[in-house]
Amino acid sequence: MILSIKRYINWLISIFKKEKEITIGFYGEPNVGKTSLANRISIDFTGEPVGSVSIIPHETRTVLKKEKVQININNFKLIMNLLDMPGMSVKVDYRDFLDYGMSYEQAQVRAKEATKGIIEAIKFLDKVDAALLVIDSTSDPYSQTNFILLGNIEARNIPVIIVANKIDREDSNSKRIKEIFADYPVVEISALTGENMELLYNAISRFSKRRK
Amino acid sequence: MYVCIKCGTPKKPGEDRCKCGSTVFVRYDKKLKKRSENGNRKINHKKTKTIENIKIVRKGVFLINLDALTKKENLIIKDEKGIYYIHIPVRIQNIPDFDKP
Repeated sequence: MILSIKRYINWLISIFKKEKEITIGFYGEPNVGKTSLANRISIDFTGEPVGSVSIIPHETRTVLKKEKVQININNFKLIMNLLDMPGMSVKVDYRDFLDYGMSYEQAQVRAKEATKGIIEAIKFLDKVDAALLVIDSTSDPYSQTNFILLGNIEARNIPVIIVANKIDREDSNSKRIKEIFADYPVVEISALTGENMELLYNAISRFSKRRK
Repeated sequence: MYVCIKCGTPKKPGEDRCKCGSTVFVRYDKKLKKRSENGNRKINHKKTKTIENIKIVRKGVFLINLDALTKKENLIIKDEKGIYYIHIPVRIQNIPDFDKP
């Protein structure tokens, strides 16, 4: 009886509370702009970046965290814990890094760290309240990695927003992403220029309001 | 053609929910599906029926079965010499507590 009264009170509080805290995971393939996006959000609200970005794939090889990023949208206070994940892929090959001037040894170490990072990112699926699946709108969205990630995120009942990034590029085709993932909320943005970021913040805010 | 994201069953006209329970269908394009994500090199872990979910082809080259790993299967690594390393359990090991609301 006491327990049900407590639950009822908590439910009432959750209705009127205008503040929520959520943990958001940034997932996607390497070099789609996950860290750029995390940096953009973090710099917009805290002035500090989350991690370094690079044209070399698998620059992020451990889960990067930025806690207590606070945003206010329409009198709704949202506190976000950002988890920038290493790039997910089904193959990590050191030879891909050699073109960027790395030695064999450096490239092999990077490949090993990247693989370790992928395992870590998968483990963190259990820790996130919502996921942003970042897709490079200049490349083919039909990838094994994207579908595996989406399927598993959905199987865990984690709310997901698909972020079609790099819309500032001339060869961007974000409409194709919208067409393919028609059942998901898709937000077209440029993490580099900050274009449409307000749409993403609104989408995140709507998601977290719906979350119990 | 649209297929269920969970089980891959083609969507029937007027169907909102797949028999597996999923309500999400994605467009399936046979021509595009044939393309692998790494150029022309096609990787299909299911067809090979291997038990490892990470295969070290050679030093610095790793094949990762993301699907198996995300389904919380035990981590089984096969090295270039054919030796298997099994990590049990794989879930939530050494992950520092992250303050949740």
